[in-house]
Amino acid sequence: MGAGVPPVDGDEFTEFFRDVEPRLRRALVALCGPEDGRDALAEALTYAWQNWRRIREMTNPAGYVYRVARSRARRRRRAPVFPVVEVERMPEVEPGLPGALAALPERQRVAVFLVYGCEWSHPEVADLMGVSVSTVRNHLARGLDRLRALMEVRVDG
Amino acid sequence: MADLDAQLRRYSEGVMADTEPLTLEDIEGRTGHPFREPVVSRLVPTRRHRFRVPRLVLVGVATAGLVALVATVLVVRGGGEDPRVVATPEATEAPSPGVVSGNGIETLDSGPLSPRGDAAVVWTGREVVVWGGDLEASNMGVPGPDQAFADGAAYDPATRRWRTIAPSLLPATSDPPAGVWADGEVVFFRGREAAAWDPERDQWRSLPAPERPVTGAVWTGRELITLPDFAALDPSTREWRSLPVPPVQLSSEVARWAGQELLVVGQSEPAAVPAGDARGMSYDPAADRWRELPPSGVDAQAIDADWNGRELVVVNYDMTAAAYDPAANRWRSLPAVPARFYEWYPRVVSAGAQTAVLMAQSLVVLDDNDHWTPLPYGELPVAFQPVRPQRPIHADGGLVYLFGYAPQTQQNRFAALDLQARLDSFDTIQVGTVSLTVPPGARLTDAVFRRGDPTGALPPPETVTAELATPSGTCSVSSTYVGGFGGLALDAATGGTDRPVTITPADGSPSWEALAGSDPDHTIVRLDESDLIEVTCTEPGQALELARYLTPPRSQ
Repeated sequence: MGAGVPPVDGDEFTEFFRDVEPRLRRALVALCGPEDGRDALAEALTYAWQNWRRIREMTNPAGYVYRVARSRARRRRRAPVFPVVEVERMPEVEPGLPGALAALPERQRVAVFLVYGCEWSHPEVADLMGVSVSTVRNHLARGLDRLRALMEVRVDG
Repeated sequence: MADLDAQLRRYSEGVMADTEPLTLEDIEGRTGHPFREPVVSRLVPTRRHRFRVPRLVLVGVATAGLVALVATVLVVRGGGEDPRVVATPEATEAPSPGVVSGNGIETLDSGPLSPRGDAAVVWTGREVVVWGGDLEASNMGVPGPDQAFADGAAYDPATRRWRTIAPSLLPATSDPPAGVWADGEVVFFRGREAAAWDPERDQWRSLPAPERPVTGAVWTGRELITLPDFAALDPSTREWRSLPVPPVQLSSEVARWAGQELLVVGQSEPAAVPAGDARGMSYDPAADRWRELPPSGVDAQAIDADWNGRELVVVNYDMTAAAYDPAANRWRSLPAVPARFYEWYPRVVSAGAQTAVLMAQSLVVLDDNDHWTPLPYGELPVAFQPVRPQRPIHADGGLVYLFGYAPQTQQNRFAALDLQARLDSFDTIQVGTVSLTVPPGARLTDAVFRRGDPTGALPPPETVTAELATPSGTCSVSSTYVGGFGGLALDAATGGTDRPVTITPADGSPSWEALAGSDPDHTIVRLDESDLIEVTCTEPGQALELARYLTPPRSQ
């Protein structure tokens, strides 16, 4: 994520928040859908604020907040829910995509959503997940294969 | 239809466009504090401590059982980083004063006091104060006569240093002391004596003696309500007053301050075996009135409880749990706590958003969805003690401090626990079922264990083996059954005899060693500080369910 350690003085948590919120929101939406993802991120950022003195010293505070959010999301014990495709608004999108995304294993889903959906780089996803870039590539390859199988997508080239 | 990449991009754009960004106000609304204002600006120098008075309850839970958890659990939140400043009431939600290294548990310097049990441990908003206690030589495994102590020390998490405190006005007796933070001073009770210690001036002042021995007290913001007789002391006027007669006579009672009322649960008198349902009552100081709570549905044997800000969470000897909501005047059942049954008292402690149960070297955390998560116990202090009144628990949310006597080293042990950090340090992965062959003739029944029948029908030593499937592959479980108190198979090796269970992973990684201390119902096999397997033995000859596998901690 590359958020780094915010400056010591001033409103550093605010700076951290503004730096990481958009990216973490995408990651959490990828993880568990927009509703639960946003809630989990809110919980994690609240926790980050309450424990800021500890978290600010970490080498990757944004990655830590992501893991806190993931932990909170898992405790909900719900399958990810993605909004249905509004055909008029997104005519090019298969209606089966949301369900197929939800059916992917967690890490494959996050990797696929962030790389192909949000144009994150492989190192950025690796940093977020705390895994190697090659692992991200594996997740992507398997995720896409599975997504295609789930959607029975005909690949045109 | 577009290719999959394009579909993903278009769909993600749409989803994210419809997902409202979080704002600073969203987070502020959850914390109740504006975080754009630097925390330090909400810390104002004063001559005296002015932290919000911590919820603090002294619990006199009595008797029954062969061993008891004697570590005192202290929960704190808030407080200034700088010892020269103290926080306004609003600042009590600020980040915790100490930083817990590792995976949410840090063993701290245990301080200058000689080894002891049953000390009073109090959080002042800035320091952890430990005072009094005693040494029951024969029961604590040390030579020499029993001793009682009237000295104390205070630990400052900001500086990580202890200081000894002035000699007290209270006697060194065998009465377990009780301590309460009461708006600028710590009030200690010992039997029929009371005195207050001012941490700022390091001075003591005497207080009028209670009519009857005090085993615990709760600070309401104005008065100290003492247990077990429910009298009230105003430390500013030095006056005692009587409370109305409670609607229920309780023993082994646990009391917690719930913001506006005192909640008390316990075993109704006269005591009986079985204990029957825990009964509860509430005292409203503003109205000077008691009311009885609805039936709890929880057996009263060895209960403990804590107030989590919304409900009183109660756990008992059988690991049955329930929560009482005063707003609705209603109890609700919680899932059973996945901790080992043992002749032990549970400790319930609420810290921030988490409520935890510490039980026989088990640490189990309850989340907002009523799901219990067992976590590695780590090096938290526990001790085995014979039957004696239980220790107080002091609570104010946030970090948990534990001070206790460790019989293994015959020293005090002191540690800090950050529940959320501990929880966030582990992934929980559900794995399958393994089988374990139980030695012929072995009996593993709840009744046998609970009767404490140590040898009866238990067979001679025998090695049992099992194949254990884990995420890293199959491994062999080997345990030598030696008979004795507590059981068979895995448990025989870990519970009554301290014999290790060796688990040898097939992939050649280092062997894992079982935790000492277990029981036939739940055996926790500790791999190392960061890994934990919990297995549940159902019946002899049947399967052991490998319930949880916690992966190594995430690196930071």
